Formats: sequence, C-alpha cells, structure tokens
Amino acid sequence: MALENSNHQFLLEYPVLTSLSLIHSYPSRPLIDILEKPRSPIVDKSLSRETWIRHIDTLYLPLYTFLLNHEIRIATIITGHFIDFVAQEHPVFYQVLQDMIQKQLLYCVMDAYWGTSHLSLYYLDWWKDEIEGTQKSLKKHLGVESTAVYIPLVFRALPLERLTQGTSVRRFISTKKQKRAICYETNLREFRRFHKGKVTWIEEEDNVGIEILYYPQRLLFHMMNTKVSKNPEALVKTISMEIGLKSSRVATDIRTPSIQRSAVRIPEERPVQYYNDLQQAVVRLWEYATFILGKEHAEDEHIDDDPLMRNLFYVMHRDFLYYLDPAHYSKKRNMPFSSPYEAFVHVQNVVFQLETLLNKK
Amino acid sequence: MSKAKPNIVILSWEILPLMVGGLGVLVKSLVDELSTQGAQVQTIVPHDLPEDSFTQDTIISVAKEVRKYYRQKPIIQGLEDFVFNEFVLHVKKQYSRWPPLYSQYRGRHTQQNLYPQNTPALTRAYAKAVADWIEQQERIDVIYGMDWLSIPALFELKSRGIDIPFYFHINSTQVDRSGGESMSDPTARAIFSVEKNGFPLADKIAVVSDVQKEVLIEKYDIDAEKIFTVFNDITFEPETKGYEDLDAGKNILFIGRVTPQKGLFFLIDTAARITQVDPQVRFIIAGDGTPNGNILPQIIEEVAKRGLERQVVFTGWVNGDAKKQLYKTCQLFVMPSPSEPFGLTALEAIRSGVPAIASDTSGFIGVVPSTPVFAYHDTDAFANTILHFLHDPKARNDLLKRQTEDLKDHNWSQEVAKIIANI
Repeated sequence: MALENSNHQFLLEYPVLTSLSLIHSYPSRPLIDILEKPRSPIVDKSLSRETWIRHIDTLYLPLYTFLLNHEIRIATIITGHFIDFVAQEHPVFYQVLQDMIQKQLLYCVMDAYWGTSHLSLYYLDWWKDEIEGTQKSLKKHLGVESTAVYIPLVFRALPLERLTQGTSVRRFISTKKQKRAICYETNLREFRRFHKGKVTWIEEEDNVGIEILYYPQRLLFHMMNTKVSKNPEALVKTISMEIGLKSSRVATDIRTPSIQRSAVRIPEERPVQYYNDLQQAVVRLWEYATFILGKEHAEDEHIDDDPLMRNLFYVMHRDFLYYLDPAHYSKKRNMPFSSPYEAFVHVQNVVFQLETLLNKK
Repeated sequence: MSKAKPNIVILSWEILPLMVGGLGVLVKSLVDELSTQGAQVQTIVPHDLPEDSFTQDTIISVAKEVRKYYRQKPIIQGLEDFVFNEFVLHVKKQYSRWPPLYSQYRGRHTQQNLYPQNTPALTRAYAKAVADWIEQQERIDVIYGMDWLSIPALFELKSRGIDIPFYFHINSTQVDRSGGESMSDPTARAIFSVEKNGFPLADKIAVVSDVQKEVLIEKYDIDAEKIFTVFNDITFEPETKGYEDLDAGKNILFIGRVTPQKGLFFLIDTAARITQVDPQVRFIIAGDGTPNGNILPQIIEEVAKRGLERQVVFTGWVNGDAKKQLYKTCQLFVMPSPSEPFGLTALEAIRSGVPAIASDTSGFIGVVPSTPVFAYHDTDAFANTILHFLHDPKARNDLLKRQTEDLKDHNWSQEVAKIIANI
C-alpha cells in the first residue's frame, strides 16, 4: 500500500517527538478510608480540570506558541481526550494547534483516547476503540486524518492486524534507547512471523504494508518532568530551546535516519523488561483490572458509556508509571504521592475498589 | 511503706494517645487499673502534651527541662560509657527517607516525634529532668520505669542519693527488638549494654510474659526471684461488624509496626506459599514503620517482586474503630514475630472473635496456651496451619472457643494486683 511519504522524509521533516496528554488528579486515600466511604470517586474531577487548565497555560501554550512562532516542525503524541478538552475549554491553545496544522508544523501521532496506551499490551479490541475515538476527535476538531499510532513497546506477539483491519492506521511510532532514528518497512505477515513459521491467520488482502519508526529516546520530550517541577516556566523555556536546537541539528545532520527493509527482523522486546518491580506489579494490576472489567462488559454488552470502564482508564495512564520510580522523588519535585510505595498502594486500592464495585453489581 | 494507698511514679516514653506501639497502650491500661485499685499514679513523659487530652495532675510533662538539659549534653554517673547520641539506622538508607504511608491521614496520632534520631541523648536529659522533679516531691513509694529508656534515670537517682525503690516494667528488651538476631548495628549494641548494666540494679522487675522472663534470665543474668510476671491486658470493647467490602471470606490479618522484629518477610514468604495453593487468600497488613525502623518500603517491594500485589494489601496506620472493624473482617489473625514479648493485638483479635496463631516465641501464649504455634522461619508449618484453619470453619470455631476459654481465666485486675502486692 502506498504511504503518504517515505519514512526517511518523515523523520527529516518531524525530527522531534513530544506528547500532549492530561492525567487525572487522584485523591490519595488509604484502604480504610475507601472502605468507610465507598461511594466517593476514584478521581477528583474538579481538581483535574483546574490542573489541566494550569498545565495548558503554563506548559503547553508557551511551548507550542514558541514552536509556531519559530516555525519548528514537530511530531506530537496526542490523545482524543486532550483535543476534546482543549476545543471546549481552552480556545487560545486550540487556535495555536489549528495554526500549526495549517502551516504543516504539527504531525499528530494518535494515542488511545484517555492516554492508556498500555491497553495495547492486553486488549487490542478496546485499544482499537480508543484509537478510533482519538481519530474521530482529530478529524472533528483539527480536520486531520492521522495514520500514525503511538505504541509504548513493539513486540512480535502484538496482533497489529486487528488494528489495521478496517482502519487507515499504517504507521507505528515508538521510542528506543539509541543514537539515531530507525525505520522499518515491512508487512503484517513479516512482522508477525516467528522464525520460519508461516502466518496463516492474516489473509492476503489484510497483509498491508506497515512502517515502524523508532525515535531515539533523547528526541522524545514528554512533559511529565515539567508537570511535577516547582519552576515549570523555566523548564519549558529550556525544553523549547532544546527542541529548536535538536530539530535544526537533525535537519542539517548528514547522518540521515537509517532505513531497514523487511529482510531485517525487528528486535523482540519483552513488554515489561525495562520496568522496576513496582511498575511491573502495577502493570499486572492493570491487566487484572482490565480482565475483570472485560468479563463484566462481556456479560453486559455495553462498553462505551460505562463509568467503571472510564475509572480504569484514569488510573491506567502511562504517565502514572512515572510516580513509581524512586529516582523521580527528590526535594525539587512536587509529586502527588509522598513515595513510590504510596503510589503503588494507591493503585492497589483503586483496583480493589473496582473489584468491589463489580462484585456489588 | 504504705500498702493502703501506694504512691507510684511511672517513667514512660509513651502513654495513649502519645503512642507508637504496645507500650503506649500498656501504660494507659496500667495507670487506669492501678488508680482503680487505689494507688496514686503519676506518669512522667518527655514530650509536650496535646492540650485537649490530658489532665495535668496525673501526667507530667518534663519536655521543657529535657530541652534545657539536652543543650548541656549531660553525662550520667555510672553510665559514663553511654555516650551514644543518635540511632544508627540499620534499614536500607534509601528507605529511611520515605515518609510514613498516608501520613496526612494520621492527624494528631503522629509518631515521628516520639522517637527522634537523638533519642539516646534525650534519655540522659530526661534522667536529669526526672531526678529534679522527684527531688521536689514529698513522698513516693515506688518509681516504675518502663523499658530501657528509664535506665539513665535510675543511675541519676542513685548518684543523687535518692533511695526510693525502683522497679522496671519490661515491655520489650533489645533482644526482642533485634528480632532475636545478632546485634550487628551499633545502636542495638549500645542499648543492650545499657540494659545489661541497668536491669540488675532494680529492686524488682515486672515482665509481660514468661518468654520474656526467660530472656532476662538467660541474656541479662537477672536473678529469677527478682522477676515477677504481669501478663498484659487491656480494656477492649470489640466491634459488632466488620468491613463487608473487604471480607472475601479468606482474610488473614496482621496488625503491628512494620519493623524487623515483626517477621514480615517471613509472612510474605508464607503468603507466596499459600497463594500457590489458594489464590483467593488475602493478607491484610495494617500498620506502618517507625522512623527508626521503617521496612514498609522493603516489604512493598518484596510483594511487588513476588507478584503478590493482589493478595497482600496495605492499609497504612490504623487505630481505634478501624482496627476493631478490621478484626471483625478477618478469619484469622497471625503473629509471625521472631521474638514478641507479649502481643496485645492477639488478645484483641480473640476478643473480637478471630482466632490467633503465632510463632512459638510470642509472649501471649502464656495466657492463651491453646494457641497453635509454629517455629519462626518454618514457612511450611506456618502455611499449613493457616490453610488448615482457613479451610475448616469447624476447626476455626473450636480454636476460638478454646482460646476464649483460656482468656476467661485471665484478668487484668488480678495481674495489676500482683504489682501492688510486690510493693
């Protein structure tokens, strides 16, 4: 299948990756408090709204205005929820995004609607719904039809064919610890092939060409650091300058991104290889929560509007893993939890609360 | 000495609600019962008192004097070798800086100020302040020192020639606090040395269990005739119902400080073994670490590492009603400590209708001899005992009946009367 432009060209045009997403505010509560007030919400919606407006004002608006004014091209991982929120609540930033799209400065990489990309590791069907949600929001508010999806980890067992069937998604973007960007051009059968085995479950018409692009991690500017910084303004200025510098360097670098054809196998990765024990345990809790909710939905047959489903996505935001790394806790940071252990116990409690709610149902 | 109305002064670091663990509860119960039996009791604490919860005539704060003497860096005559100023943490340094779990929910019951890092130095300042206060009193029949923290006071009183009978009431020794293991860290060695010098000087020593009596005889060379046992107890009104949401029918409860002496790693080992057999079993760990022995982060990491995140849940620090409701929510109470001087929580559990099982070094077994025991570190025995009682409701009920029967003979008034009789 013909792609809109080549990988090589794409990486030169959009050499830096950043992320636009909003994380909910969690009232951190001990288990006893949850047991005594079981009906109180898992997330604090009014606090979340305030926080999001503040984050957009202090972080995203100055950064993207800087990028717009200096005409710096950038690829952005974006969630449908973020676009919907901005379109309704923040017309100034909405206008900035529209201007960037108009000038072709912004390339949108779709994340799941609520930013729960880790769903891709477990439940492709739900993940597909989430990606389609983001696709709709992008089209509705920004008039963009994106074909690129962000995947936190790429591995052979990932059934990408379930996402490509019936959608226009063909480009998968991820990050890796490496010096240069790498592009893989392959097709679905080749991607899913294990050694010399045959992939019989993908029909010929579904065996579409796909691209897998790895950005070097140093070129991904996710804004988590700025969200927990005590002086976000200064940090945003630094990041803006760094993005400008890196994109101009990459653009003028004679070492162009390397392109690997399908003959070269994509290196296998274990999904939770890079996580510490707490993060791995939390990912397992997410998996379990997804499982129990999935069971519930399979019985009820209504997935879209169930508040329980939403509650799960709130705590499964990929940014949450940031709170589970002891290295990120220092005196300079303003974290919502007092330690990674409290963050871990919080997820335990939320999953327990979900389990209880489902049992009552 | 007047036996009709003895005048007793208690030297204690804790008294409910100024408490961290069992000591605060014990002192409060002791004061209440001694008063009921006609003694005049005053408790001297080194902390500032919360304004709303104390009456000034029974609880004396010498915090101001302690601060004054602390600045002077006093040396206690007879304890010149005891120049130890600060606790040296023997838990991993990276864990010691984490604040207690859900610290914002603790409110007034905060524990971090009761045992600050400089507690060893504070005990010497406390000794001076206590001696000053006692010198001004007209008549005191007995001074009653709780644990090693009151030992410098005994030396100070002797050096000033104050010859009032001095009794120790030992809630825990350093041997217990080290979990029965060798004392590798300097804090434990220094305190053990102070205890070894101080305990033999007392006129009498009250211990909370026969297990502890053995420890005093074996490790501290105390004459057995000096020691008398006052089994612990407290006034406890159980709750009528528990948390329905938490009750999955297979809950195992641990309540206590998350410190090395409580055997939590042993419990996690056992939990891993049990969940292989029955994944529905849930372990509830209620409690938190103390500032000088916080291993909660290590425990949580161990739980994550072993994939027990769904089976082992943490509530953080609990007290009062929440604790009572937790008892009613669970099917079994466990006490896996390598060395537990008494274990009041086991008595609370039994009175709430939850049978308790414990390691064979737990002191409360002296009061409840029908308690099933296992050797510390014997994971198989511990796991088998838990699974047996969890899966057999009849055996559980029988055990509870026997334990309740044992407790009927146990009477706090009788125990406290032993103290009065020994004065």
